[in-house]
Amino acid sequence: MRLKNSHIGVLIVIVLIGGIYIAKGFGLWSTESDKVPIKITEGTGAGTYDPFDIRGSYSFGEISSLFEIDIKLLVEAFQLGDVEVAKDLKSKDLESLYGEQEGDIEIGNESVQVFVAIMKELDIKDSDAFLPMSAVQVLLEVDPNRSKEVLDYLANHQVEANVSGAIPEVETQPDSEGLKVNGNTTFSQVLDFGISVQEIESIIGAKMPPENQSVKSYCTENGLSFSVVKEALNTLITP
Amino acid sequence: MENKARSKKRQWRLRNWVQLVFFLLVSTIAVNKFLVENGGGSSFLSSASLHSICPFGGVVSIYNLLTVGDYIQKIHSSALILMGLVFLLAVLLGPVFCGWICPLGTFQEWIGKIGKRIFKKRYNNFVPTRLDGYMRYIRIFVLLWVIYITAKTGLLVFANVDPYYALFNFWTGEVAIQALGILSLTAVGSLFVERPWCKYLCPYGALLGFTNKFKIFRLHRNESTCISCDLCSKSCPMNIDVANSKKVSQLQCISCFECSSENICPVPETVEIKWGEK
Ligand code: SF4
Repeated sequence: MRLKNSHIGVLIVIVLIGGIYIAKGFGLWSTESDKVPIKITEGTGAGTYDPFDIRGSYSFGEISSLFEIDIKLLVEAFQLGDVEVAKDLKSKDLESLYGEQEGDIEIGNESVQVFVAIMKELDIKDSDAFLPMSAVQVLLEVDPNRSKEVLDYLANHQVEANVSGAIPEVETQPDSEGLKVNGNTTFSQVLDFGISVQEIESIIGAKMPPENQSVKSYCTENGLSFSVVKEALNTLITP
Repeated sequence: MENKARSKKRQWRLRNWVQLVFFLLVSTIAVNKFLVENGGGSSFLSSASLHSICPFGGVVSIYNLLTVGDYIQKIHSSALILMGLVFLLAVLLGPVFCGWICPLGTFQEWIGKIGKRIFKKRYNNFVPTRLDGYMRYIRIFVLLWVIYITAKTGLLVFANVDPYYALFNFWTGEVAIQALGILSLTAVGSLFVERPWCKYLCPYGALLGFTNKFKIFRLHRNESTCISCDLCSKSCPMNIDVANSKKVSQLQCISCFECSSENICPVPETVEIKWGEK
């Protein structure tokens, strides 16, 4: 079998464009700034963004602007404290913020999807996600005359849940000298800032994590408050 | 024969058009990202960061993904997906990414055209063969260094020396001075040597180069019809001795296929891209 230039050009285009297209179809393709959910193609809300395509990586700021929902309502619904902090919080962060609820109930990205769907009066499909009471209250305050289907859903999917984890702080940029721990800082950078392994271990109360892990992701994984750890590390950098 | 070969040489081949399209695409994305960040730009165009559309970002992220389940800073799933697609192409055809897509390779080729005009036949023949041979191993060490340092730190350290990032961001003030220096050296070097970055320093080229050993479609030279005019070797940007190879499986080949009968070789069906022949 012989190939010509034209075959190679076509192969390149098919593999790259086709591959990206398929990856987008499966919701796998993500660049930092390309967070756009798919649109609903038929039925109620055709042509609008599909709330059930909200991914855990979306921040509440992004959800607010994509679905045109006042960020203050999202903050109130999910008890996120400060608006400025909530803007950068990711939808998936809810899982660690709320922790485990009784009966294996989870407040997470799916709760956000349902909340947005009801806010936008869109089909809640066959979702089974639970909402904290605070979110149910917001939904009913915004529109006390929700449909029977929605009211039934809310009655059966509400949970008295409060934020149990610490709300992470807004990621701050490094200061002019670059010597500050922020949301992107890895443990290897912390070492470069002159902090010893022992000092890190005493702050996090555990063995030194892999150097290539970011401080923030370590804190999230291990139920530590990133803002507390960050503050402690920054105090050592600039005594 | 010579005349026929020369007339072939002057054409803009499909490869050059593909290169131009990818160069414009990446430039547009880079400029749009800059404009969007400064309150302008277009929402119709992608404003992804260059790191997120560079397949090499996927390569250096693998260790982090396996050990701590996270991408390294500035890298996203798009880079990993592109890495997979480029690898698929490389398994089929060898490093076509280098020869047909990479905008930094294209940039070097364009500067090389000026070098060819100035130096004529001496162009791309300045480095003594033996020294050139040793220098070609440097990129493998660069690859090992980049993988090691990224795995150790979880940071995109390579961005600080990456001429690709520098080329499409030099106006933003975000580019490290070392990267600008390496970009300048690459540009000046391209006046004397074809694709100096690719030949001696590119870690991604080093990695993709290994697929030349097992790619499915490869170049074969038909010894029975070959007239030993040497045009294939002379046209090769990577100085591969195609004229004395039965098939091209050298690590440095970038699958540009300039040497093929469809392009520079004056004898039909003599240097061809084929599947299955050992
Ligand atoms: S051997 Fe042929 S395909 Fe490979 S780099 Fe040289 S000219 Fe291009």
